[in-house]
Amino acid sequence: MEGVEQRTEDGAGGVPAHSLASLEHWMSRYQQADPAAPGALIASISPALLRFFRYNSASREQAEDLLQETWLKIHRMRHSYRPGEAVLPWVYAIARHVRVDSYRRVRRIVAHEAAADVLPEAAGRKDVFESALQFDALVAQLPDSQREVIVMLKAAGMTVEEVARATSSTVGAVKLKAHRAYESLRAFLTSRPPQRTGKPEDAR
Amino acid sequence: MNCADIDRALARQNKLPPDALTAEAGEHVLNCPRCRALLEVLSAPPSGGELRPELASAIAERIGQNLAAVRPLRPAGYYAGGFVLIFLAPIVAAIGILRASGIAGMGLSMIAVVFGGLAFCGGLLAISLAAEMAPGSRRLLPPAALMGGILLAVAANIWALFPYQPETGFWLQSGKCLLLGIGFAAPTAALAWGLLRRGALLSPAVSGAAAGLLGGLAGIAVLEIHCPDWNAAHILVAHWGTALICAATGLLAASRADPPVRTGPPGPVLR
Repeated sequence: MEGVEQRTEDGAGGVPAHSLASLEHWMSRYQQADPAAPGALIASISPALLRFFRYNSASREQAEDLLQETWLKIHRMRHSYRPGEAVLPWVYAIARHVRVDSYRRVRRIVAHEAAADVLPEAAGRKDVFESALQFDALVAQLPDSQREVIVMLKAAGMTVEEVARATSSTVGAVKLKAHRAYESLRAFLTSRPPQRTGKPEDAR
Repeated sequence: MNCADIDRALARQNKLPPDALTAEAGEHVLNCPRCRALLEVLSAPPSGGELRPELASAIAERIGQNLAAVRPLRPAGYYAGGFVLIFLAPIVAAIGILRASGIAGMGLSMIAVVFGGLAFCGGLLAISLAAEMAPGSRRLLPPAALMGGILLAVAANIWALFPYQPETGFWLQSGKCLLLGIGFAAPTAALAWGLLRRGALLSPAVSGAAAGLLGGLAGIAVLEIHCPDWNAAHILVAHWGTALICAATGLLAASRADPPVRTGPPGPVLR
């Protein structure tokens, strides 16, 4: 699997330094039912996808479930990838819908359950506060729309243009959210944590 | 240079971790612990992406079980052209079937503004619908903002161009126009929905509203060609109302096509 073997870990960003051309190559092979293609794509894209879900307040187990759902959806929608287009915006557009669907599902279940017991805190939230100054601790404080943008930029190593495409938004809007996120992160770093106002946005 | 300037400089960056900042910004960062901490956090390697090999193989195996070749979507322009044809078809049909009493009384400039505006909005919507078919496509505007903008622009156009006049039988005449408009808009929206379904509908409700609005715009064009009533109130209620009703119906109808929310244990299950 040439594309995978050439891939290395990028120490600076922690994002697999996958060749975008190789992702596009494997995506085309996937559409042509090459049996090697799913494995190659899963190996190269899944670590960043896992981070995307984890930084967006999922536990390790939830993140793995979301990852599986995302891949099943990717498989069902693989015909909608246009050869030659960037793969990451396509993948993350699907992933964020899976995340929002999951959030709604959990919210609906919680709403229908009797409050017989104190609900457990959102997974990982406590750890997040204890590991101050960690990236995940900081982004956990951001409103959802800002967190999503920052996580895609950092955890997935996407460009602003790619994030705009994945979120059905514009480059200007993404830059504005990033700017607000940096202001909020600085406020958190200076012990003035901004109020958490976000909840997963309706991506529909 | 201050901390706010650093925030702005970071926001201008195309990706994270940020590339080298200017000398002036670098000097500020050196002397500002808060900015230094922020940059350290943004530049630190991310963690939490360790993929268990057994999970990767389980997903690959599951996918491999029904791996079949698929034909990828054609270029966006191909589908945008299809949506434009779908938009134009009822208008051409109306010219052939109905009397052109409405357009007959318009001057050239008014025809240009009314139908040019509708054509422009229809074109934008066609491009947006084509983008809707493939996740991660480039957008002119977020779909909801585009639809809202189109509805407002058409309403403003009507408000500015047509006079308000007292009218007898207002509701009867408006009802007839509404029915006629919807009669042309509904098949147009259905055709647009059929074409949309060739792609991946991540947000069926939004796509349904957009398909309904495309039909509604075609309905407005048909009514502007045919209806001789130039009362702005009538045009807003009956003609513009056609677009509003079609968009709302498209949204509601397509929401039912949305996959139901499962209430069972979440997730598929490869452990």
